[in-house]
Amino acid sequence: MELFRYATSVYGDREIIGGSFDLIQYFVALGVAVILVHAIFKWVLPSNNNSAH
Amino acid sequence: MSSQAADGRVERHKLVDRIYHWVMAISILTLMATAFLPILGWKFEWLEIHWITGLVLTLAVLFHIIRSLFFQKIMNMVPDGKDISAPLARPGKYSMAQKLYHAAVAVLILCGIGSGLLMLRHIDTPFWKRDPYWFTDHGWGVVYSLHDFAAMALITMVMIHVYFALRPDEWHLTRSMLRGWMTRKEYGDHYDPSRWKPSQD
Repeated sequence: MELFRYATSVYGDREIIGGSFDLIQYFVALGVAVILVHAIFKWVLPSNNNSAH
Repeated sequence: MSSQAADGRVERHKLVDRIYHWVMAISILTLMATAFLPILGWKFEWLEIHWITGLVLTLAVLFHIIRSLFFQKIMNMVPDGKDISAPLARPGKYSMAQKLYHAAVAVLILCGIGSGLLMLRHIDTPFWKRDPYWFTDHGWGVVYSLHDFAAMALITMVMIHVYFALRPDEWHLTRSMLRGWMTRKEYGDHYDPSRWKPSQD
């Protein structure tokens, strides 16, 4: 898994040209994970109106 | 409408702030669509829409920074002692979680805007011809990497934000960003009146 995208410059150097878009799936997965953990947490624990959220 | 209306409503967001939020939201979604849909295979002329929308977002965020610093209570969005000692207790206007989320999103959006404005120098616009030598190859790589990682991290943050906005137990907040108010009962149930007095916003 690469973190960055690379290209070869006119001078023959390997240069970073940006972040790797292969990582998009991991950011989506992180979002899904946070949502699932929160949803399960709220479902399992009793609701408490006298608290934030 | 006064903050202590007789009809049992409490004002949470003024019209100008709601307009700002939705301009920012539409800009962010447009930027993400023009950024990622072509990467995912849906090819279209995305660049012009992307940088023009980026300028709209820049102006909107600039407006928000000035308004929040000089015309609103900036400390409403800063964690205080009670947020740290009792993060799950009834909060002021914003909970600890909301304050931390706002800080994270602010850093990411400012990173995206800053790098995006630098990247404007790399393309032709009505204002100037592109200058690919403004940075070295390595320098452009750093700028593009910051922009790309900020954008991908914002995917996560937008997903989380939309989830909370759609939760039934948070609809009073979603409604307040559309209509500007919440009921007095919702205010009493969710907020500590000693920490947030809407009439003093």
